[in-house]
Amino acid sequence: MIEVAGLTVSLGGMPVLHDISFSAGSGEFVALCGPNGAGKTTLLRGLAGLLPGGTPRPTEIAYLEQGARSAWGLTVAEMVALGRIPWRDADAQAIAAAMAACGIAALADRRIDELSGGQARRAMLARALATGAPTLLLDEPVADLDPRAAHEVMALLAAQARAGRTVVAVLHAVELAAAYATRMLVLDAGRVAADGPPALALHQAAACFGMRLGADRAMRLLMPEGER
Amino acid sequence: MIRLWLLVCVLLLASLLVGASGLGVPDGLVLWQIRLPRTLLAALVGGGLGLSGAVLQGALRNPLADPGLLGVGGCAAFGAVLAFYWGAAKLFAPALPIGALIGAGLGCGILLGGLGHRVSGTAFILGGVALSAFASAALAVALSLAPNPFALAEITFWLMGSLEDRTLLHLALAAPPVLAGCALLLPLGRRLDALSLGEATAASLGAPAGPTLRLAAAGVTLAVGGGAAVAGGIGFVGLVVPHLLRPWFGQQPGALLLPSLAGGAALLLAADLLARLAPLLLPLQAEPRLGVLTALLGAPYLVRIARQAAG
Repeated sequence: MIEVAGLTVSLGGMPVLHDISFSAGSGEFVALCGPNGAGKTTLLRGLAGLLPGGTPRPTEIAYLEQGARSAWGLTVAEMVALGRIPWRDADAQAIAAAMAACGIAALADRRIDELSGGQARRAMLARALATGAPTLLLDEPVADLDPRAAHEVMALLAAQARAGRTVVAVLHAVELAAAYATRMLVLDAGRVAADGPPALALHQAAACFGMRLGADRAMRLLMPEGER
Repeated sequence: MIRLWLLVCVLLLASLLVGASGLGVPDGLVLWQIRLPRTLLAALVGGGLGLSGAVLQGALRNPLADPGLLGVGGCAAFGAVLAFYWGAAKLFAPALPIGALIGAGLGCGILLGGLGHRVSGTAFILGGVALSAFASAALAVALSLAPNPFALAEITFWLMGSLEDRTLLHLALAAPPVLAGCALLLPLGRRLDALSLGEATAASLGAPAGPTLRLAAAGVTLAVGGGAAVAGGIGFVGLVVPHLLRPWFGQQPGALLLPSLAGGAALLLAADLLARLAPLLLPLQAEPRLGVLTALLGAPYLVRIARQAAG
C-alpha cells in the first residue's frame, strides 16, 4: 500500500505537480505514463519519500532510480547485496532469489561495469527486489533493454504484483504498459490526465503525446506462444 | 588482509631497527625516545591518511578524492603558521601542533556550517575546494609576511612534512585525534556502499548522504588534522592507497576501509624507512622530506593505475 494526498511540488520555482492524490494497493501494477516533463519521476520520488520533507521507508519501499548506475565496479553479487542494507544483514537466500528472478545468477561474480546495458539493468532490478520490500517503485526499468529483455522484465514485474507486491513503474513504452500493467496513470503537465485500466487510459495517453492509437497491431513484437 | 597486516608488522619492526645510528637493535634511549615515537607516528599518520582517502573516495563517489580536497591539511598548515609566527611555538613546544589541530577543526566547522543542513557530494567538493584555496591563499599571505628568512625556511620545511625528531609528546598529541577520527570513519562502510548507487538510492535504503558526509568530514578532520599537526603536509597517501588496494580487495567502498588503514600505515612506514635509509646509502646531507618522498613515489604509481584503468 502506498499513497500520496494533495501532493503539490515546485522545483526551482516551476510547478511540477499540482495537487496529485494517488494510492495503489497490494497486487496492483501501475504504469506511470506521460510526456517528458509531465512530473512522473517527481511523483515517484514523492511516493518514495525522497522529496524534501519526505521520509523514506527503506524496508517497505524499494526504489530504482532512473538510469541507476554504480560509481564503482562492484560485482553483481555485491550490488544485489546492497538491497539488504535496510535490514543490516546479508540474507544469502534473498540475494540468490532476486538474482535468479532477474536471470543473472550466472553473472554473480562479474563486475557490473563490464556487463551489457541490459544485464546491468537487471542487476539493478535484482538489487531492488532483494530488499524484499512490499512496494517496488521503478523509474524507467526497461529504458535501455532490447524488446525481448523488456518483455521479460515486464513479465517479472507483473509476476511480482500477482505475488502481492505493489508495483509502480514509470514507463515510456505505453504498449508494453498496456500489455502488462493492471492500471495506468497518465500524467500531463503535472496533473492526472487519466487513471484506470490500461485499455481505457491508453487513448488518453496517446492524446497526451499528440498521437493517435492505431487500430491494427500487426507489427507488434510478441513473446513466443506459451512463454507469456 | 592477514598478509597486509603482516607487512605492517614487518615494516614496524624494520622501522625500529633502522636509523641514523645504523642498522640493528639500538640502545634503550634511542629506541624509546627516537625510534619508537617515529615508528608509531608513521603508522598512525599513514593509517589515518589511507582510511580518510578511502572514506572520501567512497562518500564522494570519486576516485580523485583525497583528504587534501577538503582543505583540512591547508587549514592545519595555516593554524600551525600562525602559532609559529606569534612566537607561541618558541615558548611552548606543542603550540604548533595544537595550532594546526585548531586550524583543521575551524576549517571543518566552516565547511559544514557553510553548507547548511542539505549536504550533497557536489556541494561538499566545491566547498572543500573553496576552503582549500582560501587556506593556501592565507598561507601565502602568512609566508610573504614572514618575520625573517629563518622563519620562512622553518615553515617551508614543516609544510613538506617529516617525522624527524618527533618525540613521545608528539605521539601523545596526535594519537587521540587520529584514533578518534578512525573510530568515526571505520563504521561508515555500509553507508558508503549505499552511496555508490547515488544519493537518492542511498536515501531510499535508509542511508541518506547528508549524515554520511558530515561524519566523514568530522572523521577526516580528526584523522588527517591530527596527523598533519605533528607530521606536516604529507600528500598522496590518501589518494593512492585505496587505488593500490582495489585490485586485491575489490571496488566496494566499505570493503576498502580496513585495508586502507593498514595500507596507509604500511606505505608511510615504508616511505619513512626510505627517508632514513637514503642518507646512509646516498651522498645526501639530510633526510629527504617525507611528504616529498610520498609524492615522488606515489605519482608514477598513479600513472600506472590510470593506464590500467584505461585498459
